[in-house]
Amino acid sequence: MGRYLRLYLYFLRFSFSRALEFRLDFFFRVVMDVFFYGTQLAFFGVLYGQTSELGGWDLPQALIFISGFFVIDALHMTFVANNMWMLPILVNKGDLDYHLLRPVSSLFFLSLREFAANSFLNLALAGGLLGWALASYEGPLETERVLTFLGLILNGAFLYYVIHICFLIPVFWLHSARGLGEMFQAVAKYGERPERIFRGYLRRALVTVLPLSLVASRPAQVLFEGLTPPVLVHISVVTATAFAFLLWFWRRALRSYSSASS
Amino acid sequence: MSLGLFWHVFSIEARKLMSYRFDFWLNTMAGSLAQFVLVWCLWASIMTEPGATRGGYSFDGIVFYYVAVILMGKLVGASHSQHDVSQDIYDGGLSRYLLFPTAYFGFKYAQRLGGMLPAVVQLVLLGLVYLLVLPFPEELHLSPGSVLMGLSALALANLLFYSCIWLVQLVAFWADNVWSLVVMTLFISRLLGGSMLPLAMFPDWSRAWLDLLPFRYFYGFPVESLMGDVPPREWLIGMGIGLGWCCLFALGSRLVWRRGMLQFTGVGI
Repeated sequence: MGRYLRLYLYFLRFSFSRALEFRLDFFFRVVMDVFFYGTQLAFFGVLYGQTSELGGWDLPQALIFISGFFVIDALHMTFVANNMWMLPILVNKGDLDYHLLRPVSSLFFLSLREFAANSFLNLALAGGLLGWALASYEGPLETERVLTFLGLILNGAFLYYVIHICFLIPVFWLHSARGLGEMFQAVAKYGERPERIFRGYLRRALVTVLPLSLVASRPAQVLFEGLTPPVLVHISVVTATAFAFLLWFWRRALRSYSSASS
Repeated sequence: MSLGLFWHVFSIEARKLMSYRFDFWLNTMAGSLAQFVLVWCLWASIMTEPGATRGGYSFDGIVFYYVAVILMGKLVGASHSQHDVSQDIYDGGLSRYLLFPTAYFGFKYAQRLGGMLPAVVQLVLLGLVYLLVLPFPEELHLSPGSVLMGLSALALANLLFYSCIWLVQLVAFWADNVWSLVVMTLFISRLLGGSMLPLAMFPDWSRAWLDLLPFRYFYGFPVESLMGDVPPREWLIGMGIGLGWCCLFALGSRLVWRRGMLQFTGVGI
Protein backbone atom coordinates (compact mmCIF):
# COMPACT_ATOMS: atom_id res chain seq x y z
CA MET A 1 0.00 0.00 0.00
CA GLY A 2 2.84 2.40 0.93
CA ARG A 3 4.52 1.65 -2.39
CA TYR A 4 1.34 2.59 -4.28
CA LEU A 5 0.97 5.78 -2.27
CA ARG A 6 4.57 6.76 -2.98
CA LEU A 7 4.06 6.01 -6.65
CA TYR A 8 0.93 8.15 -6.72
CA LEU A 9 2.82 11.07 -5.19
CA TYR A 10 5.29 10.80 -8.08
CA PHE A 11 2.35 10.88 -10.51
CA LEU A 12 1.10 14.07 -8.82
CA ARG A 13 4.48 15.79 -8.97
CA PHE A 14 4.93 14.88 -12.62
CA SER A 15 1.39 15.99 -13.57
CA PHE A 16 1.65 19.35 -11.78
CA SER A 17 4.98 20.19 -13.40
CA ARG A 18 3.57 19.25 -16.82
CA ALA A 19 0.38 21.26 -16.31
CA LEU A 20 2.39 24.35 -15.48
CA GLU A 21 4.25 24.03 -18.79
CA PHE A 22 0.96 24.51 -20.66
CA ARG A 23 -0.42 27.51 -18.80
CA LEU A 24 -2.93 28.62 -21.41
CA ASP A 25 -4.43 25.14 -21.55
CA PHE A 26 -4.56 25.20 -17.75
CA PHE A 27 -6.67 28.35 -17.96
CA PHE A 28 -8.86 27.00 -20.80
CA ARG A 29 -9.65 23.83 -18.87
CA VAL A 30 -10.80 25.83 -15.86
CA VAL A 31 -13.01 28.06 -18.01
CA MET A 32 -14.37 25.04 -19.91
CA ASP A 33 -15.63 23.43 -16.72
CA VAL A 34 -17.13 26.74 -15.61
CA PHE A 35 -19.11 26.73 -18.86
CA PHE A 36 -20.14 23.11 -18.27
CA TYR A 37 -21.49 24.00 -14.85
CA GLY A 38 -23.15 27.12 -16.23
CA THR A 39 -24.93 25.29 -19.06
CA GLN A 40 -26.17 22.54 -16.73
CA LEU A 41 -27.48 25.07 -14.20
CA ALA A 42 -29.15 27.06 -16.99
CA PHE A 43 -30.67 23.83 -18.35
CA PHE A 44 -32.29 23.07 -15.00
CA GLY A 45 -33.27 26.72 -14.61
CA VAL A 46 -35.13 26.74 -17.94
CA LEU A 47 -36.59 23.27 -17.33
CA TYR A 48 -38.03 24.37 -13.98
CA GLY A 49 -39.65 27.25 -15.84
CA GLN A 50 -41.82 24.54 -17.44
CA THR A 51 -42.52 22.43 -14.36
CA SER A 52 -42.55 22.81 -10.59
CA GLU A 53 -40.94 19.42 -9.92
CA LEU A 54 -38.77 16.90 -11.68
CA GLY A 55 -38.60 13.33 -10.45
CA GLY A 56 -40.17 14.48 -7.17
CA TRP A 57 -37.67 17.27 -6.57
CA ASP A 58 -38.16 21.02 -6.60
CA LEU A 59 -35.50 23.38 -7.97
CA PRO A 60 -33.39 23.76 -4.77
CA GLN A 61 -33.28 19.96 -4.41
CA ALA A 62 -32.35 19.56 -8.08
CA LEU A 63 -29.56 22.10 -7.58
CA ILE A 64 -28.10 20.01 -4.76
CA PHE A 65 -28.35 16.91 -6.95
CA ILE A 66 -26.66 18.53 -9.96
CA SER A 67 -23.99 20.16 -7.79
CA GLY A 68 -23.27 16.70 -6.36
CA PHE A 69 -22.87 15.48 -9.92
CA PHE A 70 -20.47 18.38 -10.62
CA VAL A 71 -18.27 17.22 -7.75
CA ILE A 72 -18.29 13.67 -9.13
CA ASP A 73 -17.49 14.95 -12.62
CA ALA A 74 -14.66 17.12 -11.25
CA LEU A 75 -13.21 14.15 -9.33
CA HIS A 76 -13.44 12.07 -12.49
CA MET A 77 -11.85 14.76 -14.65
CA THR A 78 -9.08 15.33 -12.11
CA PHE A 79 -8.09 11.79 -11.26
CA VAL A 80 -8.97 9.46 -14.14
CA ALA A 81 -10.46 11.10 -17.27
CA ASN A 82 -7.13 11.80 -19.01
CA ASN A 83 -6.11 8.20 -18.43
CA MET A 84 -9.40 6.94 -19.86
CA TRP A 85 -8.82 8.94 -23.06
CA MET A 86 -5.34 7.46 -23.40
CA LEU A 87 -6.30 3.82 -22.82
CA PRO A 88 -7.65 3.02 -26.34
CA ILE A 89 -4.63 4.73 -27.90
CA LEU A 90 -2.21 2.69 -25.79
CA VAL A 91 -4.04 -0.54 -26.68
CA ASN A 92 -4.17 0.18 -30.41
CA LYS A 93 -0.57 1.34 -30.68
CA GLY A 94 0.73 -1.61 -28.70
CA ASP A 95 2.15 0.80 -26.12
CA LEU A 96 0.44 -1.03 -23.30
CA ASP A 97 3.50 -3.31 -23.12
CA TYR A 98 5.48 -0.69 -21.23
CA HIS A 99 2.80 -0.50 -18.56
CA LEU A 100 2.24 -4.23 -18.26
CA LEU A 101 5.93 -4.80 -17.55
CA ARG A 102 5.92 -2.62 -14.43
CA PRO A 103 5.83 -4.30 -11.03
CA VAL A 104 2.53 -2.70 -10.01
CA SER A 105 -1.13 -3.35 -10.81
CA SER A 106 -1.65 -2.42 -14.47
CA LEU A 107 -5.20 -1.24 -13.72
CA PHE A 108 -3.93 1.07 -10.98
CA PHE A 109 -1.16 2.42 -13.17
CA LEU A 110 -3.27 2.98 -16.28
CA SER A 111 -6.21 4.47 -14.37
CA LEU A 112 -4.34 6.94 -12.18
CA ARG A 113 -1.04 7.68 -13.90
CA GLU A 114 -2.05 11.11 -15.13
CA PHE A 115 -3.53 13.53 -12.62
CA ALA A 116 -5.24 16.48 -14.35
CA ALA A 117 -3.84 19.31 -12.28
CA ASN A 118 -5.74 21.78 -14.46
CA SER A 119 -9.06 20.22 -13.41
CA PHE A 120 -8.05 20.34 -9.76
CA LEU A 121 -9.21 23.96 -9.44
CA ASN A 122 -12.61 22.91 -10.75
CA LEU A 123 -12.93 20.46 -7.92
CA ALA A 124 -12.83 23.45 -5.56
CA LEU A 125 -15.34 25.27 -7.75
CA ALA A 126 -17.72 22.29 -7.87
CA GLY A 127 -17.32 21.85 -4.12
CA GLY A 128 -18.14 25.54 -3.68
CA LEU A 129 -21.29 25.17 -5.78
CA LEU A 130 -22.36 22.16 -3.73
CA GLY A 131 -21.71 24.10 -0.52
CA TRP A 132 -23.78 27.01 -1.83
CA ALA A 133 -26.64 24.68 -2.90
CA LEU A 134 -26.64 23.00 0.52
CA ALA A 135 -26.45 26.30 2.41
CA SER A 136 -29.32 27.86 0.45
CA TYR A 137 -31.57 24.80 0.87
CA GLU A 138 -34.40 25.70 3.22
CA GLY A 139 -35.49 22.15 4.14
CA PRO A 140 -34.11 20.26 7.15
CA LEU A 141 -30.58 18.89 6.63
CA GLU A 142 -28.95 17.08 9.53
CA THR A 143 -25.16 16.94 9.71
CA GLU A 144 -25.24 13.15 9.76
CA ARG A 145 -27.20 13.07 6.50
CA VAL A 146 -24.88 15.58 4.85
CA LEU A 147 -21.85 13.48 5.81
CA THR A 148 -23.54 10.33 4.48
CA PHE A 149 -24.35 12.21 1.27
CA LEU A 150 -20.71 13.26 0.84
CA GLY A 151 -19.57 9.69 1.45
CA LEU A 152 -22.01 8.41 -1.16
CA ILE A 153 -20.80 11.08 -3.59
CA LEU A 154 -17.28 9.64 -3.27
CA ASN A 155 -18.71 6.18 -3.85
CA GLY A 156 -20.56 7.59 -6.87
CA ALA A 157 -17.31 8.93 -8.31
CA PHE A 158 -15.79 5.46 -7.98
CA LEU A 159 -18.80 3.85 -9.66
CA TYR A 160 -18.62 6.42 -12.46
CA TYR A 161 -15.00 5.44 -13.08
CA VAL A 162 -15.87 1.72 -13.08
CA ILE A 163 -18.68 2.26 -15.61
CA HIS A 164 -16.48 4.45 -17.82
CA ILE A 165 -13.59 2.01 -18.00
CA CYS A 166 -15.96 -0.93 -18.59
CA PHE A 167 -17.20 0.92 -21.68
CA LEU A 168 -13.61 1.29 -22.91
CA ILE A 169 -12.26 -2.19 -22.25
CA PRO A 170 -13.95 -3.73 -25.35
CA VAL A 171 -11.36 -1.78 -27.37
CA PHE A 172 -9.07 -4.78 -26.73
CA TRP A 173 -11.28 -6.77 -29.12
CA LEU A 174 -12.84 -4.06 -31.31
CA HIS A 175 -9.74 -1.87 -31.92
CA SER A 176 -11.83 1.26 -32.35
CA ALA A 177 -13.07 3.16 -29.33
CA ARG A 178 -15.01 5.86 -31.15
CA GLY A 179 -18.41 4.17 -31.02
CA LEU A 180 -17.84 3.05 -27.43
CA GLY A 181 -16.75 6.53 -26.38
CA GLU A 182 -19.79 8.15 -27.94
CA MET A 183 -22.00 5.45 -26.45
CA PHE A 184 -20.63 6.20 -22.98
CA GLN A 185 -21.19 9.93 -23.49
CA ALA A 186 -24.83 9.21 -24.41
CA VAL A 187 -25.42 6.75 -21.58
CA ALA A 188 -23.62 8.83 -18.93
CA LYS A 189 -26.32 11.51 -19.32
CA TYR A 190 -28.69 9.15 -17.45
CA GLY A 191 -26.60 9.84 -14.36
CA GLU A 192 -27.21 13.58 -14.77
CA ARG A 193 -30.98 13.19 -14.36
CA PRO A 194 -33.02 12.30 -11.25
CA GLU A 195 -33.61 8.56 -10.84
CA ARG A 196 -37.37 8.95 -10.43
CA ILE A 197 -37.98 10.26 -13.94
CA PHE A 198 -37.27 6.69 -15.11
CA ARG A 199 -39.78 3.87 -14.87
CA GLY A 200 -39.94 0.06 -14.93
CA TYR A 201 -37.07 -2.06 -16.22
CA LEU A 202 -35.01 0.96 -17.20
CA ARG A 203 -35.06 2.28 -13.64
CA ARG A 204 -34.15 -1.15 -12.30
CA ALA A 205 -31.28 -1.38 -14.77
CA LEU A 206 -30.02 2.05 -13.73
CA VAL A 207 -29.63 0.94 -10.13
CA THR A 208 -28.20 -2.51 -10.84
CA VAL A 209 -26.47 -3.53 -14.09
CA LEU A 210 -25.72 0.02 -15.25
CA PRO A 211 -25.81 1.83 -11.91
CA LEU A 212 -25.71 5.42 -13.15
CA SER A 213 -28.55 6.42 -10.86
CA LEU A 214 -26.43 5.37 -7.87
CA VAL A 215 -23.75 7.87 -8.91
CA ALA A 216 -25.42 11.16 -7.91
CA SER A 217 -29.20 10.70 -7.83
CA ARG A 218 -29.44 8.09 -5.06
CA PRO A 219 -27.01 9.99 -2.80
CA ALA A 220 -29.25 13.08 -3.17
CA GLN A 221 -32.30 10.96 -2.32
CA VAL A 222 -30.51 9.73 0.80
CA LEU A 223 -29.80 13.34 1.75
CA PHE A 224 -33.48 14.30 1.52
CA GLU A 225 -35.07 11.08 2.79
CA GLY A 226 -32.44 9.49 5.00
CA LEU A 227 -30.37 6.33 4.68
CA THR A 228 -32.14 3.05 5.35
CA PRO A 229 -30.27 -0.27 5.80
CA PRO A 230 -31.67 -1.77 2.54
CA VAL A 231 -30.43 1.26 0.58
CA LEU A 232 -26.99 1.03 2.19
CA VAL A 233 -26.77 -2.71 1.46
CA HIS A 234 -27.98 -2.14 -2.10
CA ILE A 235 -25.37 0.53 -2.85
CA SER A 236 -22.58 -1.51 -1.21
CA VAL A 237 -23.45 -4.72 -3.06
CA VAL A 238 -23.75 -2.99 -6.44
CA THR A 239 -20.44 -1.13 -5.95
CA ALA A 240 -18.59 -4.29 -4.86
CA THR A 241 -20.10 -6.32 -7.72
CA ALA A 242 -19.24 -3.63 -10.27
CA PHE A 243 -15.62 -3.53 -9.04
CA ALA A 244 -15.35 -7.35 -9.08
CA PHE A 245 -16.73 -7.34 -12.63
CA LEU A 246 -14.17 -4.71 -13.65
CA LEU A 247 -11.28 -6.80 -12.27
CA TRP A 248 -12.54 -9.90 -14.11
CA PHE A 249 -13.18 -7.97 -17.33
CA TRP A 250 -9.71 -6.37 -17.18
CA ARG A 251 -8.00 -9.74 -16.74
CA ARG A 252 -9.98 -11.17 -19.67
CA ALA A 253 -9.04 -8.16 -21.80
CA LEU A 254 -5.34 -8.44 -20.97
CA ARG A 255 -5.40 -12.10 -22.02
CA SER A 256 -6.66 -10.95 -25.43
CA TYR A 257 -4.05 -8.22 -25.79
CA SER A 258 -1.75 -9.12 -28.65
CA SER A 259 0.58 -6.12 -28.41
CA ALA A 260 0.26 -5.67 -32.18
CA SER A 261 -0.15 -2.06 -33.18
CA SER A 262 -2.57 -0.61 -35.70
CA MET B 1 -10.72 23.04 -55.15
CA SER B 2 -11.90 20.97 -58.13
CA LEU B 3 -15.13 18.99 -57.82
CA GLY B 4 -13.31 15.76 -58.73
CA LEU B 5 -10.79 16.15 -55.91
CA PHE B 6 -13.56 17.16 -53.50
CA TRP B 7 -15.48 13.99 -54.35
CA HIS B 8 -12.33 11.84 -54.03
CA VAL B 9 -11.52 13.17 -50.54
CA PHE B 10 -15.20 12.81 -49.59
CA SER B 11 -15.37 9.15 -50.64
CA ILE B 12 -12.08 8.18 -48.94
CA GLU B 13 -13.25 9.65 -45.66
CA ALA B 14 -16.69 8.04 -45.97
CA ARG B 15 -15.15 4.59 -46.63
CA LYS B 16 -12.74 5.05 -43.74
CA LEU B 17 -15.51 5.71 -41.24
CA MET B 18 -17.84 3.05 -42.63
CA SER B 19 -15.08 0.42 -42.30
CA TYR B 20 -15.63 0.24 -38.51
CA ARG B 21 -19.04 -1.40 -38.77
CA PHE B 22 -19.44 -2.17 -35.11
CA ASP B 23 -18.76 1.48 -34.29
CA PHE B 24 -21.35 2.50 -36.83
CA TRP B 25 -24.11 0.23 -35.54
CA LEU B 26 -23.29 0.91 -31.91
CA ASN B 27 -23.44 4.62 -32.51
CA THR B 28 -26.47 4.41 -34.83
CA MET B 29 -28.72 2.17 -32.86
CA ALA B 30 -27.55 2.20 -29.26
CA GLY B 31 -26.19 5.77 -29.02
CA SER B 32 -29.16 7.45 -30.69
CA LEU B 33 -31.63 5.20 -28.90
CA ALA B 34 -30.04 6.02 -25.53
CA GLN B 35 -30.38 9.76 -26.23
CA PHE B 36 -33.96 9.31 -27.39
CA VAL B 37 -35.05 7.23 -24.37
CA LEU B 38 -33.54 9.82 -22.02
CA VAL B 39 -35.52 12.74 -23.45
CA TRP B 40 -38.65 10.57 -23.63
CA CYS B 41 -38.37 9.73 -19.90
CA LEU B 42 -37.58 13.34 -18.98
CA TRP B 43 -40.58 14.82 -20.75
CA ALA B 44 -42.93 11.96 -19.87
CA SER B 45 -42.18 12.72 -16.21
CA ILE B 46 -42.92 16.43 -16.73
CA MET B 47 -45.97 16.21 -19.01
CA THR B 48 -48.10 13.86 -16.97
CA GLU B 49 -51.50 15.48 -17.56
CA PRO B 50 -53.26 14.57 -20.85
CA GLY B 51 -53.17 17.25 -23.57
CA ALA B 52 -50.43 19.21 -21.78
CA THR B 53 -48.17 21.51 -23.77
CA ARG B 54 -44.81 23.11 -22.96
CA GLY B 55 -43.41 25.98 -25.00
CA GLY B 56 -46.18 25.35 -27.54
CA TYR B 57 -45.25 21.68 -27.98
CA SER B 58 -47.39 18.67 -27.11
CA PHE B 59 -45.58 15.57 -25.81
CA ASP B 60 -45.52 14.05 -29.32
CA GLY B 61 -44.26 17.38 -30.67
CA ILE B 62 -41.38 17.46 -28.18
CA VAL B 63 -40.50 13.86 -29.03
CA PHE B 64 -40.41 14.76 -32.73
CA TYR B 65 -38.31 17.86 -31.97
CA TYR B 66 -35.70 15.85 -30.07
CA VAL B 67 -35.59 13.02 -32.62
CA ALA B 68 -34.93 15.64 -35.30
CA VAL B 69 -32.32 17.42 -33.13
CA ILE B 70 -30.51 14.15 -32.34
CA LEU B 71 -30.42 12.98 -35.96
CA MET B 72 -29.89 16.33 -37.69
CA GLY B 73 -27.45 17.39 -34.97
CA LYS B 74 -25.11 14.57 -36.04
CA LEU B 75 -25.01 16.20 -39.48
CA VAL B 76 -24.09 19.54 -37.91
CA GLY B 77 -21.72 18.67 -35.06
CA ALA B 78 -19.91 15.72 -36.69
CA SER B 79 -17.62 14.75 -33.82
CA HIS B 80 -14.93 13.37 -36.19
CA SER B 81 -14.05 16.86 -37.43
CA GLN B 82 -14.16 18.97 -34.27
CA HIS B 83 -10.44 18.87 -33.53
CA ASP B 84 -8.80 18.06 -36.87
CA VAL B 85 -7.46 21.53 -37.70
CA SER B 86 -6.00 22.23 -34.25
CA GLN B 87 -4.41 18.77 -34.30
CA ASP B 88 -2.77 19.53 -37.67
CA ILE B 89 -1.38 22.79 -36.29
CA TYR B 90 -0.38 21.22 -33.00
CA ASP B 91 1.56 18.26 -34.42
CA GLY B 92 2.93 20.08 -37.47
CA GLY B 93 0.84 18.00 -39.89
CA LEU B 94 -0.42 21.23 -41.45
CA SER B 95 2.86 21.50 -43.41
CA ARG B 96 1.79 18.53 -45.53
CA TYR B 97 -1.45 20.23 -46.54
CA LEU B 98 0.31 23.49 -47.38
CA LEU B 99 2.21 21.62 -50.09
CA PHE B 100 -0.99 20.29 -51.66
CA PRO B 101 -2.13 22.21 -54.76
CA THR B 102 -5.52 22.86 -53.18
CA ALA B 103 -7.11 24.99 -50.46
CA TYR B 104 -6.80 23.62 -46.92
CA PHE B 105 -10.35 24.59 -45.94
CA GLY B 106 -11.85 22.88 -49.02
CA PHE B 107 -9.86 19.73 -48.34
CA LYS B 108 -10.91 19.58 -44.69
CA TYR B 109 -14.53 20.40 -45.50
CA ALA B 110 -14.63 17.53 -48.03
CA GLN B 111 -13.24 15.21 -45.33
CA ARG B 112 -15.87 16.47 -42.91
CA LEU B 113 -18.72 15.85 -45.35
CA GLY B 114 -17.37 12.39 -46.21
CA GLY B 115 -17.22 11.51 -42.54
CA MET B 116 -20.89 12.36 -42.25
CA LEU B 117 -22.08 9.50 -44.42
CA PRO B 118 -22.77 7.28 -41.37
CA ALA B 119 -24.88 10.09 -39.90
CA VAL B 120 -26.87 10.37 -43.17
CA VAL B 121 -27.58 6.62 -43.03
CA GLN B 122 -28.65 7.04 -39.39
CA LEU B 123 -30.95 9.92 -40.31
CA VAL B 124 -32.69 7.91 -43.03
CA LEU B 125 -32.90 4.64 -41.05
CA LEU B 126 -34.04 6.08 -37.73
CA GLY B 127 -36.25 8.66 -39.46
CA LEU B 128 -38.10 5.80 -41.14
CA VAL B 129 -38.37 3.90 -37.85
CA TYR B 130 -39.85 7.05 -36.24
CA LEU B 131 -42.44 7.43 -39.01
CA LEU B 132 -43.46 3.78 -38.71
CA VAL B 133 -43.52 3.45 -34.92
CA LEU B 134 -44.26 6.77 -33.21
CA PRO B 135 -47.37 8.97 -33.42
CA PHE B 136 -47.24 12.00 -35.65
CA PRO B 137 -47.69 15.20 -33.60
CA GLU B 138 -50.78 17.26 -34.43
CA GLU B 139 -48.93 20.57 -34.42
CA LEU B 140 -46.46 19.38 -37.06
CA HIS B 141 -46.94 21.18 -40.39
CA LEU B 142 -44.70 18.96 -42.46
CA SER B 143 -44.87 19.72 -46.19
CA PRO B 144 -42.51 19.55 -49.19
CA GLY B 145 -41.85 23.26 -48.58
CA SER B 146 -40.98 22.79 -44.90
CA VAL B 147 -38.75 19.81 -45.74
CA LEU B 148 -36.91 21.92 -48.32
CA MET B 149 -36.59 24.81 -45.85
CA GLY B 150 -35.37 22.42 -43.16
CA LEU B 151 -32.78 20.81 -45.42
CA SER B 152 -31.51 24.18 -46.67
CA ALA B 153 -31.23 25.41 -43.08
CA LEU B 154 -29.40 22.16 -42.23
CA ALA B 155 -26.87 22.75 -45.03
CA LEU B 156 -26.30 26.26 -43.71
CA ALA B 157 -26.01 24.94 -40.14
CA ASN B 158 -23.32 22.50 -41.24
CA LEU B 159 -21.24 25.22 -42.86
CA LEU B 160 -21.88 27.72 -40.06
CA PHE B 161 -20.91 25.25 -37.33
CA TYR B 162 -17.70 24.30 -39.11
CA SER B 163 -16.83 27.97 -39.74
CA CYS B 164 -17.28 28.66 -36.03
CA ILE B 165 -15.29 25.62 -34.87
CA TRP B 166 -12.63 26.35 -37.50
CA LEU B 167 -12.06 29.85 -36.11
CA VAL B 168 -11.85 28.50 -32.55
CA GLN B 169 -9.36 25.84 -33.62
CA LEU B 170 -7.07 28.40 -35.24
CA VAL B 171 -6.20 29.60 -31.72
CA ALA B 172 -3.93 26.52 -31.79
CA PHE B 173 -1.37 28.70 -33.62
CA TRP B 174 -0.73 30.36 -30.24
CA ALA B 175 -2.04 27.93 -27.63
CA ASP B 176 -0.62 24.47 -27.06
CA ASN B 177 -3.99 22.82 -26.71
CA VAL B 178 -7.38 24.19 -27.72
CA TRP B 179 -9.43 21.07 -27.03
CA SER B 180 -11.04 22.80 -24.05
CA LEU B 181 -11.96 25.84 -26.16
CA VAL B 182 -13.73 23.64 -28.71
CA VAL B 183 -15.59 21.73 -26.00
CA MET B 184 -16.58 25.05 -24.40
CA THR B 185 -18.05 26.17 -27.73
CA LEU B 186 -19.99 22.90 -27.94
CA PHE B 187 -21.45 23.38 -24.43
CA ILE B 188 -22.67 26.88 -25.27
CA SER B 189 -23.98 25.96 -28.70
CA ARG B 190 -25.95 22.99 -27.36
CA LEU B 191 -27.68 25.09 -24.73
CA LEU B 192 -28.23 28.28 -26.71
CA GLY B 193 -28.75 26.46 -30.01
CA GLY B 194 -31.80 24.49 -28.92
CA SER B 195 -30.16 21.07 -28.68
CA MET B 196 -30.66 20.63 -24.93
CA LEU B 197 -34.06 22.33 -24.83
CA PRO B 198 -36.32 23.85 -27.51
CA LEU B 199 -35.63 27.59 -27.61
CA ALA B 200 -39.38 28.25 -27.32
CA MET B 201 -39.03 27.27 -23.64
CA PHE B 202 -36.48 29.97 -22.86
CA PRO B 203 -37.71 33.12 -21.11
CA ASP B 204 -39.23 35.74 -23.44
CA TRP B 205 -36.56 38.35 -22.66
CA SER B 206 -33.85 36.04 -24.00
CA ARG B 207 -35.51 35.09 -27.28
CA ALA B 208 -34.53 38.21 -29.25
CA TRP B 209 -30.89 37.72 -28.21
CA LEU B 210 -30.95 34.03 -29.09
CA ASP B 211 -32.26 34.90 -32.56
CA LEU B 212 -29.30 37.19 -33.16
CA LEU B 213 -26.59 34.81 -31.91
CA PRO B 214 -25.24 32.16 -34.31
CA PHE B 215 -26.09 29.16 -32.09
CA ARG B 216 -29.81 28.98 -32.94
CA TYR B 217 -28.86 28.35 -36.56
CA PHE B 218 -26.90 25.21 -35.60
CA TYR B 219 -29.78 23.12 -34.26
CA GLY B 220 -33.05 24.90 -33.42
CA PHE B 221 -33.59 26.76 -36.68
CA PRO B 222 -33.23 23.74 -39.04
CA VAL B 223 -35.55 21.63 -36.88
CA GLU B 224 -38.15 24.40 -36.46
CA SER B 225 -38.02 24.98 -40.24
CA LEU B 226 -38.55 21.26 -40.88
CA MET B 227 -41.50 21.21 -38.47
CA GLY B 228 -43.12 24.08 -40.38
CA ASP B 229 -42.90 26.42 -37.39
CA VAL B 230 -40.98 29.13 -39.27
CA PRO B 231 -42.98 31.31 -41.70
CA PRO B 232 -41.20 31.96 -45.06
CA ARG B 233 -40.37 35.59 -44.24
CA GLU B 234 -38.89 34.69 -40.86
CA TRP B 235 -37.03 31.82 -42.51
CA LEU B 236 -35.42 34.17 -45.02
CA ILE B 237 -34.35 36.51 -42.22
CA GLY B 238 -32.96 33.53 -40.29
CA MET B 239 -31.01 32.29 -43.30
CA GLY B 240 -29.69 35.83 -43.76
CA ILE B 241 -28.50 36.00 -40.13
CA GLY B 242 -26.90 32.56 -40.45
CA LEU B 243 -25.12 33.53 -43.67
CA GLY B 244 -24.01 36.79 -42.05
CA TRP B 245 -22.40 34.83 -39.21
CA CYS B 246 -20.77 32.52 -41.77
CA CYS B 247 -19.21 35.55 -43.47
CA LEU B 248 -18.08 36.98 -40.13
CA PHE B 249 -16.46 33.70 -39.11
CA ALA B 250 -14.84 33.38 -42.54
CA LEU B 251 -13.44 36.90 -42.31
CA GLY B 252 -12.20 36.32 -38.77
CA SER B 253 -10.63 33.00 -39.81
CA ARG B 254 -8.87 34.64 -42.74
CA LEU B 255 -7.30 37.27 -40.49
CA VAL B 256 -6.33 34.78 -37.78
CA TRP B 257 -4.98 32.33 -40.39
CA ARG B 258 -2.72 35.01 -41.90
CA ARG B 259 -1.36 36.03 -38.50
CA GLY B 260 -0.98 32.42 -37.47
CA MET B 261 0.85 31.38 -40.62
CA LEU B 262 3.47 34.06 -39.99
CA GLN B 263 4.58 32.21 -36.90
CA PHE B 264 3.80 28.61 -37.84
CA THR B 265 7.06 26.64 -37.70
CA GLY B 266 5.73 23.26 -38.80
CA VAL B 267 7.76 21.58 -36.09
CA GLY B 268 4.87 20.34 -33.97
CA ILE B 269 4.94 19.25 -30.36
